[in-house]
Amino acid sequence: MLKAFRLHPWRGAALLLALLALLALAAHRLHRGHGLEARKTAASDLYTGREPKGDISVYFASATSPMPGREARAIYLTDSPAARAHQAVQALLQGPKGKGLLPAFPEGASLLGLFIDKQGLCVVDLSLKHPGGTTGEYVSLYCLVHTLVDNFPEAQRVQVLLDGQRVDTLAGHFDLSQPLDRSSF
Amino acid sequence: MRLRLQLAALALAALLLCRSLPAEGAQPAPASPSAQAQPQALVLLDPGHGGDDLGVRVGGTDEASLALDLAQRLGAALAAGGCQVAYTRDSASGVSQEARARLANRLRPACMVSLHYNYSFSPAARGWRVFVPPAQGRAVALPGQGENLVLLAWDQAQGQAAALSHDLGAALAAALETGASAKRGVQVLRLAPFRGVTVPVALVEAGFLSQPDELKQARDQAARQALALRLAAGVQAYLRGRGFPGGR
Repeated sequence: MLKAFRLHPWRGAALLLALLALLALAAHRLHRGHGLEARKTAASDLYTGREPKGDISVYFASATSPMPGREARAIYLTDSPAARAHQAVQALLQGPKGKGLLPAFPEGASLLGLFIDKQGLCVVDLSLKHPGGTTGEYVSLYCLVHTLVDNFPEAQRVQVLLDGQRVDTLAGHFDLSQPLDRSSF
Repeated sequence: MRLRLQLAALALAALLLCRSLPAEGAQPAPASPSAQAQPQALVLLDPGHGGDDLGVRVGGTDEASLALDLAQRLGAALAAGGCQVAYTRDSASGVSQEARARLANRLRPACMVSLHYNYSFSPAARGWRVFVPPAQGRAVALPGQGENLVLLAWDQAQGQAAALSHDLGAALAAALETGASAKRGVQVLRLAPFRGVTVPVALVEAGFLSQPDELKQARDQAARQALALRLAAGVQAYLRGRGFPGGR
């Protein structure tokens, strides 16, 4: 009877390999699932959706003037200034909704992270490929800095990172070696 | 302790800079005894970008190539007017911003002009722009060295020449403000091409490649030549104001 269940060594090895493959696949899916969950958790950490909403001013390029214009956008008024600032930069990168304004950042630009320290330094980690030009960089950075410092008194200066790294410029012009503030423009 | 460390870092930066500045209002030092008899202004032209960095790219046209061509045309016009001309790059190869600043500080030209072409997200932004560095930074005299050797932090080096940079920018803007172009003057901005540069410097954005009509103009050789002649007139006006005979 027991002999009937005895496996041939080759069959045993094949079965073991198949089991290992199944385990690896399950672990990979589990890991990927956790990754997605972590990102979802990070995004929902910004707000629960139960907070009251309030308007802020988000700056965009103007279709009719060389200087940027602004648009009112509603964000969740969370306790965390960084979470509010995060929503503001996301609105900036999404582009304007009304007429007369244009995006201040290239399509595909994304916000990787944002925090504000106790000294008023707001660090914004972006991922983007900027088309360049002194004026193009000026408008992008003007809109980013003013959207932050005009709406959030906790953010007095803005340090821009690209893909987690300190950079000299977005694309060769505006000096990003030091934090920016209102006086930078 | 922290102050001492900062002073030590400042001193090290100054030693690395390894240069002495002329006293306020003095003429740039001539390059050789023969030049001393008839001082000829040296102008350093700085075509933006280069190498892998092509700058603004629109429909097969790139900023790096246009800036190099414009610089060479401007250089030829200045040389014809009696100036000495040097370039931060004279080929498609790339040069780092630090290397450009080091060259400027070593050559000590009467002025440096960076040449770029612009981009905007807005169709409302049009025409040329002239940018100059802010007047920030403070020099610290080295004890026992009089006024000839000073300490400068690298990122504030331009503070010493900012007033002359503004004069240079104003002269370039005045030369560009001809015909239908609006009076724009100069805009003061902290730009990377100004970092570490201790000589008078201005950056010209010669037009928006993002605007179809200005892209067409930028691609046109005759239009670039005309622009180069106007820029040369601006540089020469600045040099005349500084007493150089080459600025005719």
